[in-house]
Amino acid sequence: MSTAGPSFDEFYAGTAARIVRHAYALTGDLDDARDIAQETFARAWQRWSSVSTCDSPEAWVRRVATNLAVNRWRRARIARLLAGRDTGTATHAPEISTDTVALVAGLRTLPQRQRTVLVLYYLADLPVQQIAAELGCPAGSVKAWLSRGRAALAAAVRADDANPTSEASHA
Amino acid sequence: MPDRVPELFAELKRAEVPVPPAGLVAARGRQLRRRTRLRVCAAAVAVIAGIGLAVQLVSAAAPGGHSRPAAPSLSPTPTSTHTALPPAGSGLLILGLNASGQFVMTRTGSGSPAVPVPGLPPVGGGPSHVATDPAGGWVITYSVSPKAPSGSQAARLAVVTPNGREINFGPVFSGKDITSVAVSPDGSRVAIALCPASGSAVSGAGKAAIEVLPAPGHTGATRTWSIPAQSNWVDNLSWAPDGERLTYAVGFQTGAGIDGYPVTLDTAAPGSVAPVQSGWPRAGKAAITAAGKAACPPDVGAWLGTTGRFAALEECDKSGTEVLQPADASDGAATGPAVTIPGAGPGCVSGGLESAPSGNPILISYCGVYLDDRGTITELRGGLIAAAIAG
Repeated sequence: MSTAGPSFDEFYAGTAARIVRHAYALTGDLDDARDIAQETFARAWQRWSSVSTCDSPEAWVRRVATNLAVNRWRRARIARLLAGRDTGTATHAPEISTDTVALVAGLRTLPQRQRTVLVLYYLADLPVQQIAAELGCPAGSVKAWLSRGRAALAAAVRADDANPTSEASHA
Repeated sequence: MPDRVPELFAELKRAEVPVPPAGLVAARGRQLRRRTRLRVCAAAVAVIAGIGLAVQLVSAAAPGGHSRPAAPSLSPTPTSTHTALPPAGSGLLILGLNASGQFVMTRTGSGSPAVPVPGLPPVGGGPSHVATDPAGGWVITYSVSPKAPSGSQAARLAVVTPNGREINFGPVFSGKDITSVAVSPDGSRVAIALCPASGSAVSGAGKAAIEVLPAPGHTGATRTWSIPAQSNWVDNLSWAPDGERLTYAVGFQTGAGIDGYPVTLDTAAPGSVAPVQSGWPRAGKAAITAAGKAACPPDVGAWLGTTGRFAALEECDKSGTEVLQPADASDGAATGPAVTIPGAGPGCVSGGLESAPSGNPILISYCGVYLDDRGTITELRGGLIAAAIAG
């Protein structure tokens, strides 16, 4: 095995929590986030010899986690629509603050692209150009989604502040 | 107040979140490796070496050392801790592992969350499998750590009763992973699939084996069948209703995954070499059914209780669609209409297929769903990644 990159366990220890947070922000459900992180790192583990030599292994796992989260979110949404109800039964750890719960609930109200760019910009601290590269879309589109998403999220959080019990109605 | 958005994200960055145990990641990686038989990664030799080293690194203690993490200690638990088991309800009992690697019990039709089994610590040291014990309860497998850092991983077997008690049985399988377990329909024999432990040279051929040993409370000789050199992987054991034929998936594990397909062994016949050929379509080969329709290679297959019916979960690699296909166990020929399994795909690794003795319902454990005889698919709450219905 190449010794150029970090060992898998070092990489996992250093990035796992960030990927869980990333998936949590995208899905709004901590159980799903953990599962997505597990799946993501299992894929990285499976092909670590090549992933570890990437320019940024973390970018690789973040992209996989993003794709998994988006797919899961879509499936969950379809399932809720088919069931004719929206239970809004997102799970959160007791340690998660109400502000964070409100943020995640607000993110769940946004279109997928807006949510994804907001998470990449504010949580992963990626510049617009890199987000555009990761998502394979023009930087102008990223800027537009970022602007609209931020405004919509601020409004959602504001509404949540005004009515703190409304979390279950989101999504 | 748009300025609050960055502040809220900053708070999320600082939030403590639960991270999956590294051992579970490795276990799931093994399942993925099996499923991704057609996805060629980079250079195969480099990947094989990488996987071996990665397994060792994943299993190593985090700071500084190279010893493995503490083994799941599955010692018997005081009866007083089992008061919550079995969970309330009238559905069939299911023992499974949730996404955190914790053993939980639930029931079919239950709307309540699964109940943790207090006597069984979370699986952190390696893969674990769960099989129905027709005598009631389940048989589980688990990995144990070596006593010395240079030692290899070992695997053990235990019986778990419906009230959560656990009793070890059988030998310690040093240097091996138990990749599957199945209990014969009369509950007298336990079949296990053995492969070189993770971290061993995965290209080593001829090291896999099938072993049948007496179940606790039963006597009889232990028999072992070696897997010939052209294959180095075996898993997905399932007993036929006659209690003599044993079906399993056999194949060759490479850096790109496992090219496996179902094969049946007659355990009543003499011999000590397991067959590795059958009429099932193989992954990577053009497989066309008699009707001229492209066949999808099977992921897992199982006899459906004592009904004599066999079914396989098949994945069409291009579409990613997973279907449950009733099939002839010898050649995979369809014997009934396929049922599409919704929700299959990323995060849903179909590692297990098992049914109640009546053949209904059929549990698709890694997708966390079960299918009843009305064709209804129900999701098990808790996202179980491995599970079996109690006998």
